Amino acid sequence: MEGDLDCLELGCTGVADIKGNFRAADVSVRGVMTVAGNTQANKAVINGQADFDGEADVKEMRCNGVANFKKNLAGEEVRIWGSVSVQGNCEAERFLVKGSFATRGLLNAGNIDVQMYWPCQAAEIGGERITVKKSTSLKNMLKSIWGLFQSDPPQPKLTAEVVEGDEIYLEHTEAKIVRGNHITIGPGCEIELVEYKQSFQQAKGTQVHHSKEI
Amino acid sequence: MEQDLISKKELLELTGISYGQLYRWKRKNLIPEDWFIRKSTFTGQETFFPKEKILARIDKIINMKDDLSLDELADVFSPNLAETAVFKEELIKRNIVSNTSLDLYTEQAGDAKVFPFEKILYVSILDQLLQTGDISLEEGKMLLRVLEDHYPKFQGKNCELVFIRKMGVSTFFLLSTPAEIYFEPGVKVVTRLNLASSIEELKIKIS
Repeated sequence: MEGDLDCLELGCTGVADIKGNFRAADVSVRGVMTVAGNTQANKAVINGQADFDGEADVKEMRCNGVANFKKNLAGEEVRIWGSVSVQGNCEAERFLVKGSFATRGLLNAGNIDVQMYWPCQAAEIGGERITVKKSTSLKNMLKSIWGLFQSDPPQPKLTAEVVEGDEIYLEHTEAKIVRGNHITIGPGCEIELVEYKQSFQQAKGTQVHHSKEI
Repeated sequence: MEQDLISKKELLELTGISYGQLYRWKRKNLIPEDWFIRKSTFTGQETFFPKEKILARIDKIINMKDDLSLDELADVFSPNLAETAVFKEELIKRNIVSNTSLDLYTEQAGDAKVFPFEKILYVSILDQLLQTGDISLEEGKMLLRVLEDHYPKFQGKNCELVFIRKMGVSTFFLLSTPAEIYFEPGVKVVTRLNLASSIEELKIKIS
């Protein structure tokens, strides 16, 4: 589609290629969608893959599959079953992921809940409640499929520079600094520095090099 | 201009707010993006803020958040003109502007029953400068003309009002900020006024 697209409802089964800016109330895609310009939508449901090359402002974003954002993503609820990558900043009230995510800039959300099935990456994470867990349910299935090609699938693991929030629970995370009020470091972590205000707990065998109360 | 910076950690300690609150206010645009200054320190990347601005802003947010929702607060802090209008009698009754400045305004721009926010802003700036004694009534007329003619052209972008005097001759002009400006020694800069903070103050007064 050449030029800008402004509509109430866009339903697409197959391939949608929007060359300009895109504005809609409701978007539903089963297949592949690409938007070259900026996107503004109330609700977007994507089953398949979506690439947003411009700024994306989507109140309610649901993606079962893959979503890539070349710039910033802003919304109320971002729910991804699959994988999401954001090159810029990502802001939302709720950021829920089952699968994997990668953010280059700041991931800022009220509630961040991630179940990792695959390696994840973030520069900076900030919010009120942050929970990152490793999922186990898919492991055996993935292993059997992956086993056909190579010995081991990549381990689900989050790599981040800074994580800051009020309540933080992390598993299988490698981070330089974790700061917050209540911090729990679960299994499989390697954290350089934890700074906490009220409470700090640490699972056995997880690595926290320094921790201090502030 | 080198400004005093405060680190994020110091800021939270000083104000007693939590990381979650700070991120939430940032998401709600209560704290502008360009106040987050990233610098590398020996512990890695750290975030700093312009000290005076951020402390004043957080103080305002904390004091006002019981009465206003975060979205309403965001409107107060945005440099866009509010879409409110106030009755003329109410302007006087609630002491938003003085009688003298309102008379001067109506004399020049005509009388009206209801004043839109933009006009109230002009009158309140006039009021402020008259009360500090920085300008005379005659100069007040000149000020109104400058604002009426040129302020709308900035379309919500931040700007500064400058008033200078030299050898008894005075003049006003509007300047988009941030900008640097230099004068020859014979010039006396009587007033420099940031319009964004005038708007902010007025919004609080009216709401």
